[in-house]
Amino acid sequence: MQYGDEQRAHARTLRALAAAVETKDLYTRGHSERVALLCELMAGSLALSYQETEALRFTGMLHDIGKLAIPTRVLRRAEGLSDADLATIATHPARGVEMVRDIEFLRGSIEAIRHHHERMDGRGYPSRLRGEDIPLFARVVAVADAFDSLTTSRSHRDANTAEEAMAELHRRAGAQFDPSIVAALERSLTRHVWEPTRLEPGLMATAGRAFDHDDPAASDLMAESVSIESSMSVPAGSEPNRADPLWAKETAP
Amino acid sequence: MTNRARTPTIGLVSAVLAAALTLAAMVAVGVRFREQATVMTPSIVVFFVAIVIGEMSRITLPGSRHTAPMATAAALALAMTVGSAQGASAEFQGPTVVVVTALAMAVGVIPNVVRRRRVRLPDLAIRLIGIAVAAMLFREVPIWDGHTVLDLHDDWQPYILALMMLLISALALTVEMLLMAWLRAGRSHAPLLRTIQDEFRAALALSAALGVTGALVALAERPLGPVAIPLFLFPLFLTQFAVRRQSAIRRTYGQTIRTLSRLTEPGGYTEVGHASRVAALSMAMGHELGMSERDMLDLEYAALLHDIGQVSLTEPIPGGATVLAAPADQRRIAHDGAEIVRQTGVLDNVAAILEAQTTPFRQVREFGEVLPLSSRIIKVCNAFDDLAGDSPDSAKRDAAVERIHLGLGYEYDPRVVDALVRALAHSEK
Repeated sequence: MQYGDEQRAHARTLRALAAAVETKDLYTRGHSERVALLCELMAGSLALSYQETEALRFTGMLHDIGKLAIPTRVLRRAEGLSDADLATIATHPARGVEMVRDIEFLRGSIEAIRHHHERMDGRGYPSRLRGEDIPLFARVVAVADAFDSLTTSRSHRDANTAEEAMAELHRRAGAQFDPSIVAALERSLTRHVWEPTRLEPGLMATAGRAFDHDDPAASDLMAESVSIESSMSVPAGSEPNRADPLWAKETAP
Repeated sequence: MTNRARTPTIGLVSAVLAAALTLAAMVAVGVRFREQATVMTPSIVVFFVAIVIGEMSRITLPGSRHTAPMATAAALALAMTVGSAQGASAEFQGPTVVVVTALAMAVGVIPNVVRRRRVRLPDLAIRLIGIAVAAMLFREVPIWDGHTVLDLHDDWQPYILALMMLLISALALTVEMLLMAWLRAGRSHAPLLRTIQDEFRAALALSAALGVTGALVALAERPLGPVAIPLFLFPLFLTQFAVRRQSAIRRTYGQTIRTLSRLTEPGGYTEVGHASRVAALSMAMGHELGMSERDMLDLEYAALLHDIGQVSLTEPIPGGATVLAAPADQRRIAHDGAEIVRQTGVLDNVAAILEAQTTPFRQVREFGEVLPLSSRIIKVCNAFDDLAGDSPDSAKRDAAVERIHLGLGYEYDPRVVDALVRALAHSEK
C-alpha cells in the first residue's frame, strides 16, 4: 500500500467506528459526519492549514465518542431527566478523551474533544473555561454541533432552516459561542447551501422526545444544573494531565 | 515441554557460536599478525564506521524484525572486498572480517542500549554468523585446486567475480534467514516450516537488495577506493527512511485498532482488558496452529474487535460475557460488529472473521460450511476468557477449559481446543 492509501485507510477506520456510536443514540445518526463536514467548511473561512483542517475534521467526527460510555437508557430517556442523569451525560467529553487519547493520530483533537461543551461565559462543562481559554477547535465544534442540532428535525419541532439556526447562534454569540466563529460559519454558508436534515418519521417516533444534549437550550439547562458542577469538579481535577511527553510512551517499539 | 525447552536453546546456541567465532577469529588474527603484518587499510576503517552507523540506525520490519540494512550490506562488502588498485591491497583474511564486524556491531549497539531500546543478542549473533559465512566462503574456503575466491579473482573475468559475489551473499543471507526462522519458531511455538516461509516472505526483498549492495560496494571499492563505501551505501541509507515511515504507519494503525477495541470497556459492555487478553491468547494459538503472519494480522485485529458489536446493545450483558448470552443474541452482536468493521472498507477479512465467530463447529461437520480458522480460534478464546477472566487461579482456568471440552466437536473445533491447551501450558511455565 502507498503512504496516502494507508492514511486514507486509517481515516476511514476511525470514521466507521465513530459511526458505531450513533447506533446507540437515534437522534445523532449522521450527526458526527455532518459536524465533521461543517468543521471542514469553517476551516476554509478560518484559513487553517491542511493539517489543522484534518485534525479539526477528526475532532468533529469523534467529538461525541464518549457517549459510548453513557448508559443507553439515559441517552434515550424521553422526559424527566434527573440532575444525576444530566451529570452523567456531562461526563461524555471526558470519557471520549479517555477512549482516544492513546491514538497518536488524534493528538491535535484531544483537548478540543474534552472542551467542546464549554461556553464563552464560563458556564459550560467540564472545566468552566471562559472565552479564549477554550481551545479554538473546541469553539469551532461547539458552533457546528449546535448548528447541526438546530437544523435537524425533532419529534416536537420541524428542522430549522439554516437562516433560523444562524439567527439563534447570533443571539447566543458572546454568551455561549465565540462571535468570530459564528461569523466564520456564516461566511462558509454563503458559499455552501446547507440543507436541513429531516429524519424519517419512523425514526423520530422511536426516538420520541429523547434529550438532545447538543441543543443550545440544553446547554442553558446544564449550565444551571448544580449537580454537574459538583460532579465535574471531581473528574476534571483528577483527570491525569496528558501532557505531550507522555504520548511518547506508546510509540516506543 | 520440548517446545518450551527449544526457546532459550537456539538463542543460546547462536550467541555462543557467535562468541566462539569472534574469539577464534581474534586468535587467528593475532597469530597471523605475527606471521605477516596485516595492513590496516583506510577501507577497513571506513567499513568499520559504516557498520557502526548502520547498527545505530537499526530499523524494525513488520513482525518486530530487527534489522540493520546498512550494517549488513557494509559487512558483506567487507567480507568480499578484494582490495583497491591504489596500492594498498586487501590482504586481510576471513577472521579479520569477523573481528572488525563483531567490534563494529558491539560499538553500534551501545547507543541502543543507552536509549533502552530492546537489543536481542541472538539476533545480533545470527547476523554476525551470516557475515562470517560470507567471509569464510570468499576468503578461506578453497574452491579450486586449493585456492580461495580471493586468490583466484585476478584470473577471472570481472563478471564471473561479480556473479561469485552475488552467489556468496545469497548463501550467507539464506543462512541468516534460516537461523532467524528457527529462532522465531522457538519463540512463538510455531512450526518451523511456517516460520521459514514467513521469514522469506518478510525479508527476501530487503535481503536481495542487501546482497546486491554488498557485492556492488565490494566491486566498486577496487577502482574507487574507500570513497565507494559511503557512496554506494547512501541509497540504502535513504531507503531506511521509507521503510521506517511505512512501519510507523502500520504501528499507528495497530495502535488505533487496539484503542478502538477498548471502546466497549468504559460503557461496561465488556470487562477491562478482555479484548487484549483474547487477542494475545488468539495469537499464541495461531502460532501453535501454524498460521501465516498475514493471517495472524487479521486474526489479531479480529480478536481485538470481536466485541465491538456490543456497542449497539441498549443494555450491557452482565460482565460482557457473550458466551453466556442466547445464541441469537450472540449472532446479532457478531453481525453488528462485522457491519461496523466492514464500513471501514479496508478490513473485509476481519469482518468475515467476525461474522462467523459464533458459528458452532458442527456447522462445518454436518453442513460442510466453510468457517475461517480465525473465527474458530476467537470463539474458543472468547469462551475461555469469559469463563476464566484474568484470574490467575489455575482451578478457575481448569474449570473453564473443562467447560469448553464439554462443547468439543459440537461448539468448538477440537484441533483449536488442543491448541488452547498447549498455549495455556506454555504461558504458565
